[in-house]
Amino acid sequence: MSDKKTTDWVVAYASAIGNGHIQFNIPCQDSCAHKRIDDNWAIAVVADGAGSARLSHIGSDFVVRNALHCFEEVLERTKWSEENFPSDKEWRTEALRALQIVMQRLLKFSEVKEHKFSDLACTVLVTIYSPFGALSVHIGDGRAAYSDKVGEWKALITPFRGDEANETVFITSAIWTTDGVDQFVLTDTLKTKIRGFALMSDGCEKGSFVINVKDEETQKYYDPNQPYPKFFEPNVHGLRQLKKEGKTQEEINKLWEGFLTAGHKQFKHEIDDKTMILGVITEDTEEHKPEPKEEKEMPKTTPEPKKDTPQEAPKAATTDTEDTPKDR
Amino acid sequence: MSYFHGETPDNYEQKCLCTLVLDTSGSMGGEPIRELNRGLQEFYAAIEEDLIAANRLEVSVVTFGSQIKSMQEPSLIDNFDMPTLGVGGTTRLVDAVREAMRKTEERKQWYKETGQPYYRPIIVLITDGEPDRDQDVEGLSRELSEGLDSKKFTFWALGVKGYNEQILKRICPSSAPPMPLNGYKFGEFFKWLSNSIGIITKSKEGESIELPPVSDWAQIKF
Repeated sequence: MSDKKTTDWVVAYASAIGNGHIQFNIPCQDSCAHKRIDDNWAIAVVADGAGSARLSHIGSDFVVRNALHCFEEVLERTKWSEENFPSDKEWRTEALRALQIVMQRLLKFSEVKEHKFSDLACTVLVTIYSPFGALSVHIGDGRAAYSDKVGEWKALITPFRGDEANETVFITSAIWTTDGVDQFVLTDTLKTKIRGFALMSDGCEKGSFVINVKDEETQKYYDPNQPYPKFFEPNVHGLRQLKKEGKTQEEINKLWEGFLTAGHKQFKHEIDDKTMILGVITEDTEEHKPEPKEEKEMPKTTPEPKKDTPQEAPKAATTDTEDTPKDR
Repeated sequence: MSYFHGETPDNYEQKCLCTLVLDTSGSMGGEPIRELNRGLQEFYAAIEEDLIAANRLEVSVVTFGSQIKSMQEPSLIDNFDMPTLGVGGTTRLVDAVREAMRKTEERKQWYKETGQPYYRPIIVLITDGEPDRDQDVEGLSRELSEGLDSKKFTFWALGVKGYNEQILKRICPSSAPPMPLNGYKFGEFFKWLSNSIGIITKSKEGESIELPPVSDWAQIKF
């Protein structure tokens, strides 16, 4: 497949401060980074600073920058490709090693700066992606999704959750033992054609994933960890439009940040910081084709782009609004 | 034109239970109970305005005098009106806090059984007196310590003018000392509480949570 032409991607990435943080004068504790490495591979990283850790905004910034650096080294050394795609085990070995280096650098940084290590606590989620697959590793919560060649959105990872809703683990947690790593540093390999992907901190999950629904039969709630296509597809379209218009990365990110801040009902009301990296190939080719139709007619899933106000689900799709308590 | 938009999926909210254990013994009559009732209404209004908190916070109210009364079972605030409290009787404080702990555990089990994500529940005790003589102060203190150590709940005790500081200090574990209220500034306290709930519902791991300063309503800084 070496004669295959390069696949173009368009990516948006930004972190937006949450309402709770504005109200209490806490900085945005999320960070994100993205870097294209070569024609095949690019790296996307999201880190969510712990709300309870004083300097977690510094920690998350340090972690995303260093993760980018460490995983770039992995790609350069391994020369992974479609033909030479890593096995689960190979990826896990490399990912653990790389994240451990990030952790050690953070530890060193904390010592030099005389910060308490736990004050820098943050989660981390790294995805290395290419048109023929994605490799992910994460510590803590957050979500990741991909769109396969027929345009179906699926989860890329399973976030770690503790018993309590606000409980998770961080790169600074006491997890760097054999057992701890097995339990808390989670890796995923996906070898399949992909046309899009998304990585996010938990501040974005309610607006873009189905994560807490009730099974009417058992009357129990569960987390289907299902990316919501009606959220993603309109933004795939928007991203491609921006690419067509020749917008710079900076311009795209600026618009994306605006969207994460208040361009969507759930995001507008979210207390937590919101980070999302969304990437799509610039056009659906034979290999990456979501639907037989033109993308512009995307359909029932795509509301008409018309105004600056957030789009709400049509009545038929939701019997309840987000602002209404649903159980009692 | 706007490039980015998208629909919101239907998700249920995770829950945070806050149980208010309120002293309605005879000594709370007059200004204290009037101010407490006003504070409760303000608390209700503050939560109602905060869309996220309104969908996450379940409030339950237990009062105590000579009797323990469950004035409100755990519920989102949209589903009830804050009761107006009257006063009377002695101070069965220990029994009331135990009842709150029992309710908290019961609700947590229900969250678990039904697969609902939840935050660590909060129990808030407000009292102006001292427990009746037959109340098992030492036993309660132990139970609270155990509950806090095993992260079963968060506990705050608010002492209102005339409260017995020595006894309340004995009841409260050292990690959660009593907070003395300045005058009858219940309104300020409940404002702080609703703000704190906003922070707690986003906190992660059991590390120290930085809550808003309490200078608006506390008699001393601590």
